[in-house]
Order: sequence, then structure tokens, then C-alpha cells
Amino acid sequence: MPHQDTSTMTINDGDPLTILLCAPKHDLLTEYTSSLLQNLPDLGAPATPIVFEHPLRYDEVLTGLEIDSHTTDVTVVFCGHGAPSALLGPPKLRDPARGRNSYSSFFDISLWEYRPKFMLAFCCSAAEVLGEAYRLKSNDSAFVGFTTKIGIITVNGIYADYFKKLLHELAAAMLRHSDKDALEASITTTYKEAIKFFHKNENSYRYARAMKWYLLAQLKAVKSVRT
Amino acid sequence: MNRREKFESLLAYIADTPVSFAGVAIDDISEEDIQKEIKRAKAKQKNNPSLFSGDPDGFFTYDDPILAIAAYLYQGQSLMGDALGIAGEVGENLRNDSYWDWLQVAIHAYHSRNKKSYLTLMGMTPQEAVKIDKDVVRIAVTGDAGFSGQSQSNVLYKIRQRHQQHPFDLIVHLGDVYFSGHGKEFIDYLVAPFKAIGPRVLSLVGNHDLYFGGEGFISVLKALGQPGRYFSIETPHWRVACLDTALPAENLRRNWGLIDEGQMLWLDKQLEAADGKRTILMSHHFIISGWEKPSAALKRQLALRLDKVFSWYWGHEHVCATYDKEVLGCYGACVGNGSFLEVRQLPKRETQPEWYATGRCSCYEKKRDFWPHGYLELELHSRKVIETYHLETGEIRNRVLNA
Repeated sequence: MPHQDTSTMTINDGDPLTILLCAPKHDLLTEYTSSLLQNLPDLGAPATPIVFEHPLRYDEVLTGLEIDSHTTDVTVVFCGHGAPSALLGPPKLRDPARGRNSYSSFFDISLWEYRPKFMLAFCCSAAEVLGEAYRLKSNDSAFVGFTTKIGIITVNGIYADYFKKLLHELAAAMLRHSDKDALEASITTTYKEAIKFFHKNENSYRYARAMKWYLLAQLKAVKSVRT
Repeated sequence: MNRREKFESLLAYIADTPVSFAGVAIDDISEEDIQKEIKRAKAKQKNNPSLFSGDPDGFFTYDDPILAIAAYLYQGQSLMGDALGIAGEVGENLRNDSYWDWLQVAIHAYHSRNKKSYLTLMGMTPQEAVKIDKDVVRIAVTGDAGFSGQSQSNVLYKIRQRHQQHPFDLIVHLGDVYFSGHGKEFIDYLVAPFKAIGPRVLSLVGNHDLYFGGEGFISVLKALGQPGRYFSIETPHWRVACLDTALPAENLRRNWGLIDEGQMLWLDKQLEAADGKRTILMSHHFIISGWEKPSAALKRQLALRLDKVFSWYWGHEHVCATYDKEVLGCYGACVGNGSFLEVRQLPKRETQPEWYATGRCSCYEKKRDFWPHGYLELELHSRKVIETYHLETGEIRNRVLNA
């Protein structure tokens, strides 16, 4: 595996790297998570925000941006709702009576041929099936996601700052490390530092204690794949 | 802050934290549902202080299933911490951190419990009475006694001592095993300790007995060989109709009792049997109290039938008090002081008891004033009932009721 120099951000024989910051925006959670991707610190390559309020498929994004996933290494940083085998988008029909499982699919196994080389799925459960698919069926790729539901404190200020920091550091680690143990260690360190911060400052921030609980839960659930 | 305040503060904190979950529900209960349950529980606790029961510095519970489960877990964690020697702020933090995980699991389990079990239990109605063919029958009666601790041990010891001097034919528990009717609680806090005394044991259903579903109490019926969730005990001269006022209750908390239609038809048959036997009622819930507002619905159901009832014994309130016939319509007594800690208060309602236990609990090293624990020794003769109220203080109160 060639060394990945993030300052030039070309991977594998000089294929250009494109970073897509993808966030649906249709409910309380996704209003918040889409804002986390705004002004995300530099990841070493141009990043295109894709915020969508209506159902959208990943292959449509590629087509719209004229990206050929076979010749361009794409990194997707996704923030929103997830399911074991899909990154989810806004509901197909805006009808509350349809119940909770009416989300559209942004990316799932049916789009496997278009899959991004690097995927950070900051959402529930996608590591369970999508992550496994990356582990078993991809080559020279990376995936970071969660195996279960994750809770996110939807408050701005220090909490949003730390979520942004997490997103950035997880994405950077995914791009930086070609070794899976190094990737895993980096992710663990990132989370432990965040948990330590909120533990130390429990009396300084109202939701520090809860933030610590949810970060601990995320640390337990996070799964990284590096092939 | 006392333990209750710490618990309620933690519950409020969890309820008030603005959190969303980044996924879809894969079963009936989502994390959002759990969060909503916690918010509801916190609102209930804040708006209904009377739901609280017990010792704010020690063991306590609430007459609400989610609050009861949450309080149980919190106290369990505290005990674990004490046992492991994790004290002080470090212990507190560790407990609070893991408490959140456990609370989610418990609420999820509560909602996932087999609702069919309630239907099954509803159908467990008696085909025959428990018959005791003796001229004088002796029954030890205690309520809300399914709480493990020194107070339960003391009460059961008193019953055992008395049984060795003057054997009982039956022990009747008036319901409530703490904290939420989980299967293991029934084995550890009711079936095992009570059966160890010797006489046959029968148990009424209390509100706490159903918070985790019906499976727990169904296994109690099997373990005790009890005819049903309601049943009668028949002697040559008496019929003791033991009611289930918990399962048919109108709301999830089952705080106020009710009788279902099928059970009412059965009760009317008992009351109208015309075989010369007088009827005694036993139930978990009550229709009269010097302290708490009783169930209006249950009162409407039974008030007009009390002319056919000789005496009535109930639990639910953790006090020991007797009521005169003129006040209730029949002789009555609350015997809910079987084990739980409850702060003593003067009766404040219009319907005053004719007597209530004096003294205070000395089972634990507590500075607060708790009701003394005890049980009722009931002796059914051909033409009278002799009540002897045994209290841990050594106080003994007798009442002879002539038929």
C-alpha cells in the first residue's frame, strides 16, 4: 500500500482524491448533523458539501458532479441516519402516518460498484453490514462506522465543536493510516481524549456528563476497516 | 442530597438532555421511545409526589412501573458500589455512567415484555376453593412484605415463632413484591422465604407484582399451587374471598384497584352463597384510608356489597390500622406494614382509623420515624373472629369481632 501523503492527497498512483461531505437535512437530528459538516477543518483535499432535503442517491451525486468513481478516489463523510446496510436519506413520502421506517436510501449495497474508497459513516449501525461488506469485498479501502445505535447531543457550542473535531479526526485518520491497527488506535485515542475532556469538565458544561456517556457508547460501537 | 434526591436529580438530567439517535428502529421500541419514557417518568414523578414510597435515605420505590424500575436499578447500583467499596465521588460517577446503560436496557426489556402474559394471567381464575375443614382456622396475614431486608426477616421470624407455638393453617400475603415483579424477585423475596416458615402460602396480586409483565406472578401461582389470581378460602363457618384488584386496574401504574366483570360475578356468587358462611374479603387495594385517597372506582364497585361482608383486610398502604364498621360498612384493617419502610404520618383524611400502630421501626439504624412492621394473626371461630396485630415493637393489639 503506497504511503498516503495527506498534503498532496493523491492516493494510489496519483488518482485524484475527492471528498464529499454528505448530509441529509430533514429532521431535528439531521438539521444538527448537517451543520457539523459546515466549515469542517481541511482534510487535505477539496471537500464538496452535499446537503440534501429530498431523497437522493449516491450515484446521482457522482453523475451530477461528473465524478467517475473508477478513476477518482472518493472519500465520503456521511452524517445522518443509518441502518445496518444503508446510509439513509430523507423520507420518500412526507407522511408521518407512514411511520418511522420510511427513509430513502442514499447509499446501500445496490450501489456497491460506485462505492467510495473511503467511507466515514457517522450514523447508526452501518458498520454491521456495510462495514462488513467493506471488510470482505473491498480492496485498498477504509470504512469507519458504528455497529449499533448512537446518540448525539444536539446542542451547539462546545458539544458541536467536539463532534466536528471527532468527524475531522476520524476522517483524517481514515485517510492517513494504511494499517488497520494504527487506524483503530487513532480512533480510540480520539474518543478517549474527548471523553476525558468532558469528564474533567463535568461541572463546567451542563451536558458534559451526558456527552461523556454518549461518547463512551460511541467508542464501544465504533468499528474501523482497512483493507 | 439524600438518595432519593440524587436519584430524581439523575433522572431529571437524563430526561432533560437533548439527544437524538442517528438511526431507524429495528424493533417496536426505539431509543427515542425510551427517551420519551424517561421524560414521562420524570414528569410523573414531579407532578405526583404521592407516587413515592419508602425511605428517602434508603430503599424507596414509586407506584409507577418506569419509576419503580428506574429506582430499583439506581439502588441496586448503589448497593453494588458499596459492596465493592467504590465510595465517594468516584463511585458516584461510575455508578451514574453505567446506570444510563442499564436504564435503557431495563426500559427496553419492560416494553418488550410479553403482553400476552397479562391475558394469560387474566384467565387464571379459580375452579375450586382452598378448603380447610377445621372448626378454628388460623391465618397469618401480611401485606407488601416482598421486600428483602431486615424488616422482612424480622416479620417472618415473628410469624415462624408464633407458628411454632400455635400453628397457622395458612399464610396470606396481600401483594407487592418489590420492585417490579421480575421473576427472580418473586422467588427470592416471596416464595422461598415465606414457604420456609411451614404453612401453605397464598398470595394476592399487588400493583408492583405486575410492572414487569404477568409471567412473574404466573410462576408464583404455579409455585404456590394457588387456584387462581383470585380465590376463596373456605372453612365450615367462613368464606375468605381473596380478590385481584391489580390486574384489572385501569392504568399502567395500577395504583388504584378495580375488579373485572368475571371476577365480580364470581364474588357475587360467594356473597350470595346462602350456606350460612360469613364472608371476609382480602385485597391489595382499599376503599378507605386515613392517609391516602382510595380508589373511587373500586369503592363504587364494592360499597353496595359491604352489607354482606363481615370484615376486609388490605395492604398497599404501608401502615397497620383498623377501621370500625360504622366508618367502612364492615370491619376493616390495613396490614400493609409487612416489610417496606414508610415514614410515619398522622392520619389527615376525614375517614379516621379507630386505631393505628404506635412506635417506630427499629429494624435499621435510621434516624427517621418509620412505621413499625408486623403481621396480623387471624383466628376464625364459628361465631367470631379474633384479630391479633403483632408489631416489631412488641406492641400487640387485639380486636374481637363477634359475628
